[in-house]
Amino acid sequence: MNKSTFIIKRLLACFITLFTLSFVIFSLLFLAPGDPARNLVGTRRVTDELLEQIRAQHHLDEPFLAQYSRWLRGAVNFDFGRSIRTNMDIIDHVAPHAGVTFQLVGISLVFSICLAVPLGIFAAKNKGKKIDRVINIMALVGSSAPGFAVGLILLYFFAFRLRLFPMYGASGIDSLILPAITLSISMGAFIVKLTRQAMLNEISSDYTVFMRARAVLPHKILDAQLKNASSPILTSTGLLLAGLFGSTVLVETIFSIPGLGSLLTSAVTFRDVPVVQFIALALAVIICLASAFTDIIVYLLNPNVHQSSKSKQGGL
Amino acid sequence: MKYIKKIHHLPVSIILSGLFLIIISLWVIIPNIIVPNALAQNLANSNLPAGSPGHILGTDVLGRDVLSMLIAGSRSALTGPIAIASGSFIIGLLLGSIAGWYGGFIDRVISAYADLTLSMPSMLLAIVAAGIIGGGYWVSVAVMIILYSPFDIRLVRSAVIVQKSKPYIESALILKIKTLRILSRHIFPNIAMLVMVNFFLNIAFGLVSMSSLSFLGLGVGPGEADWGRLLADGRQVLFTAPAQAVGAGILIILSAVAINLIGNFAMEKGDFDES
Amino acid sequence: MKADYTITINIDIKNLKVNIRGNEVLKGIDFSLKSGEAVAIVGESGSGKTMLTRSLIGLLPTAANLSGIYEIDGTSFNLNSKEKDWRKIRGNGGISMIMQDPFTALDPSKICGKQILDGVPKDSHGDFDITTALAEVGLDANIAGRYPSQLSGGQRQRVVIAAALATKPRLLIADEATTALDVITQKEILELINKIRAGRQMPIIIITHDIHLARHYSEKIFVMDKGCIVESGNTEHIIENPKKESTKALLSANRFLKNLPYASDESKAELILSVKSLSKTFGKVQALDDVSINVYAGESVGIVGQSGSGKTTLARCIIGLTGADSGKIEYFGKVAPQIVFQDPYSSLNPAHTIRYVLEEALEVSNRPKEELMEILSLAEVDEKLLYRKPSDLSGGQRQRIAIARALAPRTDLLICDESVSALDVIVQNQILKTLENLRKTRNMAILFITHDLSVLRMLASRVYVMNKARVVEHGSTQQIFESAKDEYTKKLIEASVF
Repeated sequence: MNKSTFIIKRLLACFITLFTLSFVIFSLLFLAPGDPARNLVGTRRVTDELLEQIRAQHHLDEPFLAQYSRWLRGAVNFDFGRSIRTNMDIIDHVAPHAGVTFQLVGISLVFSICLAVPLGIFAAKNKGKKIDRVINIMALVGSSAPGFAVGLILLYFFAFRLRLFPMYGASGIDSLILPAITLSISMGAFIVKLTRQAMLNEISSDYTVFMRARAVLPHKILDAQLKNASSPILTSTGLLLAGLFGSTVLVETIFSIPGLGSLLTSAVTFRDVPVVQFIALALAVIICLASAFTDIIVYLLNPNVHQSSKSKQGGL
Repeated sequence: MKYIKKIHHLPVSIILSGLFLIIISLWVIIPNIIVPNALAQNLANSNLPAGSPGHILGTDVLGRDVLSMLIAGSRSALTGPIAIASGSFIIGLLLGSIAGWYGGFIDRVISAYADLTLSMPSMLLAIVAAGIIGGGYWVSVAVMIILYSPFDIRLVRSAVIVQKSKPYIESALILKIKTLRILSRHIFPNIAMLVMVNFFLNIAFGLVSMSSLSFLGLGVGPGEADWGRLLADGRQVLFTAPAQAVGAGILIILSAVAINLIGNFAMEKGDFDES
Repeated sequence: MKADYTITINIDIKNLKVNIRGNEVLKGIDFSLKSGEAVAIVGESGSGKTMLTRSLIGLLPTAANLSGIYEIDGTSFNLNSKEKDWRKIRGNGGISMIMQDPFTALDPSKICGKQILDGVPKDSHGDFDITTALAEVGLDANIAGRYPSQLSGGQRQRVVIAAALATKPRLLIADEATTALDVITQKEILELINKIRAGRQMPIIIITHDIHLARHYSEKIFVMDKGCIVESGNTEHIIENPKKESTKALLSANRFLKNLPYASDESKAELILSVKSLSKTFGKVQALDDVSINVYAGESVGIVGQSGSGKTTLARCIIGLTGADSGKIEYFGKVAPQIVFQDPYSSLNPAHTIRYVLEEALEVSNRPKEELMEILSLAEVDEKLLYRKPSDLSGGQRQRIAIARALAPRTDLLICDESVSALDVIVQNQILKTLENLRKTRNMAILFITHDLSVLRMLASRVYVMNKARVVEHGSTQQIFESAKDEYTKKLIEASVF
């Protein structure tokens, strides 16, 4: 398989996922209990004629597939309709919330990678020693504890008890530190586990033994091990991104950060279906593209290694 | 005696996790005996601080004892996850075995379904689906089963494929032993441990997901005793009466960690044949 | 890189003990090596030969506990040194090693030239020439720019040798360096190592399970068994006058190809299996190309070929595990053919006791469970094993159970797909004897599929030679050995006979 076929295949798989996802998300509107037209008008009292009018206006009287294709055509042209709650254009409604979420996710990603990768390498190099077991247990605790519970406890002790951080809201970068730490704990813990395992595989590999037997300089051995371990670490980190966005939703609620997550949960509670559809789809696009790009980067870094083995995410 | 000696060789973390889970299981099985009137309101005793006589962790606005509610909340916090793990286990075993054993077209269909579901952000979908359908606790459980089963399908499928190419299974085929018997008597015993441990670990995943949904108000109804819900309700008064939210948070974290510790320990000791 | 430096090294190790998690794997070894010597360490798998050589360069697992006195050129060296100190005696002017498996010994993400250069000592970077280094191991200069995945097994092992030599070692250890390769490549690599040794006048240690190979390529031999050196001395002398039981066992087990008698021709007229023009491809790979063979009742036929020649695919087609693309398989026996696979560790279901496995086989063959004892005694299995699980059995015992299971349906044709090649030679011989007895007493035809010509010479009266998916030659075993016509067959026989 040459480079361009791999990239095309991978992106194609990504688009198939997104297409299916858009279908699933759109169908949920139909699964929602109650009359969608009534949902649209909210609690106002309306006549039957007015309801009919609303149905026609929003094309709710068309068959399901026709509505879906209409929505999809709109989506391709960046027209996602209007928020039911505020009657604003969806993009104008959502855009102000996006920045803070991306900041939060970005900071957490950098935090966790910078700390977790060296820690994982260190643990692998000291396999079986006390320090390795301590790192291991910490990683296990960090990866199994849910972000919102950890966030709440951090909030109570560090923001309220110790007053080290602001308690609520998105007033500047310092209010994002505690939420970012919360997100980094589980993300970082997963990366520590991955890095440690990937490095252990390389350390016990035959080529490492052969390099040691030839007294190759230690830093050259480490270089080779890191290069070979980087593929699995990168691939899995790409997959973890989905989880990161998932816990962001909850962590934003805990810390009352006005990001996409908070907006999504409040839209869900208010049944603001177009907003929910848009946010879910937008996050899915980001996650799918990010994971496709990591796969492509991994492939481009080491094309010769993958010639024989099919990439996990490659084919569909 | 033999078993007591064996316990001595277990790491301390595993023994502690085991003890913790035994206590939690008792809470789940017989809450009515341990805390008979957990949800009994007593407005005269509302908002007692932690450390009050008779109410170690204080009471809430409605005068309900926080400790009793935390104990009673374990049932709702864990039955859903156990249902998720069981449902996912059954679907995984069925579809995974079929896909792995028969291969070909049916395998491609099942695998395509699993790959597709896995490539979607499950927590986001769960929030959206549970939120929009809005059927409460058991609808959320059903959504989670659908979103989790692909992991189990994949796991069982690859374990069955590994088994299928083993010479002892091929020998069974050559002896013309019936398919159902090969699957149940020859393959299942070899993957049983793996799926059991995975079932156990899924309870922890389910616990985290269900309490997340309950925390967002998408699981149990308001006022009900459930760790995620108690955490959400307690968050309003976090800085005045932290016992409820912090207590629920600690219980969720400890349960998830204990299950993962034991599960991972079993995984390592089992040294399973995965592809 | 010329052989003009005088290579002298003296290695002396006394009372070496290695303990891994309470398991004593080496029990007081005395070993020495002097300049220019070619030393062989022979023993069965698990005898401790790899442990011994790995102790010499500090490459044992971290859990290993070592004790003993280790002297290099008269200077003592601490066996429990740190990695930093071990580096001083590895590679440059010290000891270098060739790994067993060329497919994993090289870094997959680095071109071969760079990997060879990695080990070149700093002070000699200036006068190191990669082309000369590759030429010494018989490779073209352009190999330097290739990744390991682009090379064949033989080429990779040559790169490994070049990389080991690039460190300018005074001693080269070859740990089963050819076991992972096919017979013809094996011979080429061994000749290469021998040539390099002669050219450089460099001492080597050859570790092998094959006493044959040791006889041909060493002057001094150490025979190991269960973590001890049982006998050592001049190779010819030891092999001619073995004193210890384990040496004798190794010798008697090794089938010295030249002296083996041919199996007698007992073929009968009655055709039992006829394969006609069978073809099969897996994707782009042709596994079988117009293959035809016949098997007659009660005879013993062999199919020989290297891995990848298609012989296993042929077996799987006959048994019905793989469908062919074209051609015809006709079977005239009353009961479907049975098979004994190669790997003793996966031929029995680990979840069941031996009794369960065999009773089930009888049950599905519509035979009463009472006949269990009959198949046990046919396969010469000890009754005591019945209540054990496969994990408690040795490789040989497992293969015997697999044979007993295959006997349950009273088949007319038994296929043995490399059934003994994973076992130690001594056990191999015992099982082959059992199979030969079975064939005679049960009037059951046996189809041996193997890469090992000596197995066929002892047991098969006729042989089919396969190469690259085709049958290139067939005839009576004697005819094939003494007057082969096909070029490939000739090369195969030449490579197998030392």
